[in-house]
Amino acid sequence: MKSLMLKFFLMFYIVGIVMSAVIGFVAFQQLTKSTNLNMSKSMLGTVSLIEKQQPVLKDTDFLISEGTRHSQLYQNVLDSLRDVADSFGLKYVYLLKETDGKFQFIVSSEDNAQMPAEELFTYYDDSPKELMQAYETKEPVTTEKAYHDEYGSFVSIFYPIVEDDRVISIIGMDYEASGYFSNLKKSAITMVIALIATAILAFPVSFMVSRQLVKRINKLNSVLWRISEGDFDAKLKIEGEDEIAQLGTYFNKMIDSLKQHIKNLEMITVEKERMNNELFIASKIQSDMLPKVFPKFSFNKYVLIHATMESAKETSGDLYDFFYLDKHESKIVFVIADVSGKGVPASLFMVIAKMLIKQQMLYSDDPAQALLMVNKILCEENPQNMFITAIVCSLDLLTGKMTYANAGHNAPLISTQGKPYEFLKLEKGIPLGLFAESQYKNLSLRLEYSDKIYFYTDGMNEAMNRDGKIFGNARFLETANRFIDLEPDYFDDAVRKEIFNFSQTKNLSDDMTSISVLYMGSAKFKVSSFDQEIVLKTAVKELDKLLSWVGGFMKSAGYDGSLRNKINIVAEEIFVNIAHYAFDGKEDNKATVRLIANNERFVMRFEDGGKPFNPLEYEVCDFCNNATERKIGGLGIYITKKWMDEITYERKDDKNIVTVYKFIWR
Amino acid sequence: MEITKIGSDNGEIMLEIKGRITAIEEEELGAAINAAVSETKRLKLDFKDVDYLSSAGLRTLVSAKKQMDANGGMITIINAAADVREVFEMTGLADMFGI
Repeated sequence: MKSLMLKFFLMFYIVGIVMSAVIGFVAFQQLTKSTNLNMSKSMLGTVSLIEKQQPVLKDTDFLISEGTRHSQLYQNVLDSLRDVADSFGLKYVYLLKETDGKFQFIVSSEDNAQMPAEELFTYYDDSPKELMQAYETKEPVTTEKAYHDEYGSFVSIFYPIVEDDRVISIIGMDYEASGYFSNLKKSAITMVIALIATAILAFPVSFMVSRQLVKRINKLNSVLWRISEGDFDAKLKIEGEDEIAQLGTYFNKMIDSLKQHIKNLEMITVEKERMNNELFIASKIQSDMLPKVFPKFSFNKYVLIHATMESAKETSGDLYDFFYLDKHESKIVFVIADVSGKGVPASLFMVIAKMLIKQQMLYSDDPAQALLMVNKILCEENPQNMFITAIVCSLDLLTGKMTYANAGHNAPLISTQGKPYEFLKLEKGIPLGLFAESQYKNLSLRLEYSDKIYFYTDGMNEAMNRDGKIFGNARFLETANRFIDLEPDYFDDAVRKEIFNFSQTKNLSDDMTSISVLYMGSAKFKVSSFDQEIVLKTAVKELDKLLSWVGGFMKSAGYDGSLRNKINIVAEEIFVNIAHYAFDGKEDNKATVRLIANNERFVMRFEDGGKPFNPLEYEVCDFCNNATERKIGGLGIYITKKWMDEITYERKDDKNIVTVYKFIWR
Repeated sequence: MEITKIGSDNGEIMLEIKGRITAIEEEELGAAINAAVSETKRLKLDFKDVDYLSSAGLRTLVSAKKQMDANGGMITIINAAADVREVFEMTGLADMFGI
């Protein structure tokens, strides 16, 4: 602010002085010129007067002879020239004659007629060039500047006397230069004094003008400052109609539109905040839908699971899920899926898919069937033509049998019997939601102790780095095998870390989702007294064997008499049922009984290859106070149901499987 | 399973049963009870030494009871141990046999 005033001040001041100086200089030049002109005019007048008064000056030869004789006439001419010189303030007035390119003095105001001839008629040796010029042009010539010769410094006029177009002689008149310049010098001094006066006067004027200018800019500044502090009610008072006033008007307009913009921006921000908030809630709901509690290994949970989903956007199109098919947690289902696209639409589709798959699996426990049904339902209403790749996998934790079906998803990694990871063999299958007629096939295999599976979406193995390079299957497999000995959570972390090291960015190109499973197969516990199996002939007389085996198991597991008795009775009831009805009393068939016990529960499982027979379908006695109306055949099942907490029946692979559960707290 | 038959002057018959009653023993038990039912209208079964009873045994007892009802007689079970009594009570048959 101060410097602007200083700049204005300096500018006005310097411009003022420079202009004065220029004007002064030009005026001085003019003055010099006009002085010269005036002088040459007056000299010309004088010299022409002399020519007229003294016609004798034309006769140079006569004058030379008169001078040589020291005549009175010559003296008179000299006197008249001296008079002219005196009355006009001239130094010298003289007559010259040209002889062979040299000029010879004939008469001079300075001379005396008594002087000897050689002093009178000397030659003008160092004459100025204007003399020759006058002689040649036959016109009077005035020297422009003062010149110096043997007689002093002069300003002169040379006036040729012409007769019959011939220069007879030249009258010269000399002003003393010092007198001539003293006038100009006086003018110059006056000029310099005027300049100094201007400089002194310009100082306060420049100061006032610049202050006046800056004052209004300062006003503008102070309002601007208030606005910069957030006071948008600040307004500029407009004075006058000049450019600064106009600037003020535009400035006020600008503040108004700025106010409006800020208001709009606030509204947009609030709206955006609200959207973000809702998106956050959506993302929270979505991620809350995925199971977060991973089963830890316990006595009868022969599995360790870890799952992670990292989204590229707020919401994800990926999905993982796992859930038990029965409340005894003997069968678990894994689902991994990837919806085409990302963001909100994908996540909505994903939520629907998750629900449908779970519902279908709980209903049928058949991955291929579940995919078939889910695909049909999704195809019915899918105008966006979105699709999902998915793998559904059902694992029987008691037997290790894994059944799975694929809908266009990438192959999980599997490691069996301590061998390195390899890609799991898959039936191809078309992604869900594309064609209502798509068919899906189950594959199955049996997992053993310490077998591992790693389900993942293509955001993992196809993660991209900044140069657009892809992580790739080979690197993915190699990475997995490097960390193969880690437990699921550490394994998953390690693999992800490698992928991030590769991609060098936290901005995912795609959602990254995985489930890592370690199956601690029941095989390990076959030797344990709490997990035993017996194979019996389907004959009632095998009961003794069964009961003593059950009794022995219960005893070694540490169960008291009452429970032991109940388990014994239930074992007998189910076994007798199988013997009687599944094989119609044919005794040379086989049934397998398996007992598992831990602190929480007791599980007994019967497996036989007889004809389909579901003991649960037997009618049970509910009104047992009337013996005659009792359905005798259902009594055993009735006892079993009363004493046990859960009985399940399934028919699988041409086998009847009856499982009973008793929950206990010790 | 062992069954000891004890007769008495007033025509009441007492069967002392020892051991386990499973589907294997069902037939033997049924035969012994049926024989006794045809002999008396007051049959007592001493279950003091019965440590195991499944639905097979219950079925036998219930059919004997039906037959006795038709004859106008009565079957009573005495000295049933806790485990066995629990089976009767749970199936609602306890009252039927006076347990």
